[in-house]
Amino acid sequence: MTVRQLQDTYDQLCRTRALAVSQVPAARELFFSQVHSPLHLIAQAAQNVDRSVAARMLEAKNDVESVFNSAMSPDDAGAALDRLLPSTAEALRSVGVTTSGCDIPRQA
Amino acid sequence: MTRRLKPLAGLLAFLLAAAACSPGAPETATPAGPDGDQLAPQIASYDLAVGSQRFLVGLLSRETELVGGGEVNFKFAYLGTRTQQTSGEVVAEAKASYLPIPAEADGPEPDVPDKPSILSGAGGSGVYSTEATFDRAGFWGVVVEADVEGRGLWTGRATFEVLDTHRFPWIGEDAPRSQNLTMSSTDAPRSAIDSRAREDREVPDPELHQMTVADGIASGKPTLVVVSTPTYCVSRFCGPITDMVHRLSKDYSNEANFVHIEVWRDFENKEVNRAAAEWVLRDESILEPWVFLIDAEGKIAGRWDNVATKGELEPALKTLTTS
Repeated sequence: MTVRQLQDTYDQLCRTRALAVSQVPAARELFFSQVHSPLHLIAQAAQNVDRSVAARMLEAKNDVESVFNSAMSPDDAGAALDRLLPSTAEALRSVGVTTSGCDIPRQA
Repeated sequence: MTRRLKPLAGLLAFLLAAAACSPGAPETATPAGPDGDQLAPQIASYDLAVGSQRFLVGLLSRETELVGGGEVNFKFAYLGTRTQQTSGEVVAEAKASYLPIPAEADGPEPDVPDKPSILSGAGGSGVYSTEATFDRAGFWGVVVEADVEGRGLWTGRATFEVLDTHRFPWIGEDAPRSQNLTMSSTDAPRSAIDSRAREDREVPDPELHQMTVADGIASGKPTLVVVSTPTYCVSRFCGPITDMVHRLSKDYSNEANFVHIEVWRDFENKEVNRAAAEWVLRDESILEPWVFLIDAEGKIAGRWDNVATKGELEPALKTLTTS
């Protein structure tokens, strides 16, 4: 994957988080269609540099999958994604890819 | 049904040249690579050796879109060894069918198009599979031809190594009598039993962690073993395949034993569970996931590397449980 594609994956993860505020099924669809597979590639690269960083990201990813495959409440999905976002950014940093922050609307 | 490769005439060099100017590739297709190909085949088989076996290829476009569905054509050429190269003559061809894997663990069976198509990824991923026979060890090449929906004839090529003998447990061999961790194990962290379990999370499929492989073999029933690491999986197939085996175990719990061996005792410190090492650690490298079917005598009766589907496992299981 190119650096641009890796950054796009992070941007899609941000979109997933934003959707999870009010549209969890759409967030789930976006996660599994655009984010899930590239996260495995990011983890593969990161684990060659720092396995702890890769582990944190994969564990957070697993939590997101569990939420999307079960209750799917916005709170649970949001909390799981809030753990996955920084661990993904950390994994990307470990392989030299920078990301911009997420602009996530919050429910009132 | 087993597909045998059939001999073909022609030279790989000729084929590659022909593929580069294929009339089937329309102007709207994904831009071809410098070699003229639109596809980037990924060899998904782990342990190819002389003889017949399942041969797996994942197909991506040059723009990393997943291609899936229908059938594609594989053309095989023997390329030689490190010291002795050949002309790369095409020696066989085979049709390969798509094996779909759900996107998420415990997800529904994905809808798969009848013809090779660009897939979104939301419906899962998968690989193309055929039964291939390699008559010599050394390096081989495969040219993939896919008539992709709305795009035309796409081609791609990849090389791979075929060994003299299998490195991992193979059909007909004695299965390792592993003393794997179970739910009763008290000398290991819970995540070593299943990487999805943590301090605040239970093992999601305790039914697959009730017995050792050794006890399964001693029971006189067939035993289905999945060796995987659902959380730390490199291939992304571990979770869906482990869950598929879990579902299968509910239908066949009286006729067979089902065991999940977690790969990692400690992922961060690269500590592999001893039982997993017996099955999937070779030359200091781990490959996962795998599914092994052991017959009532303790011999390996079936083996699926990287990808396994219910459509493959269930018939093999039925053969053993009804005999």
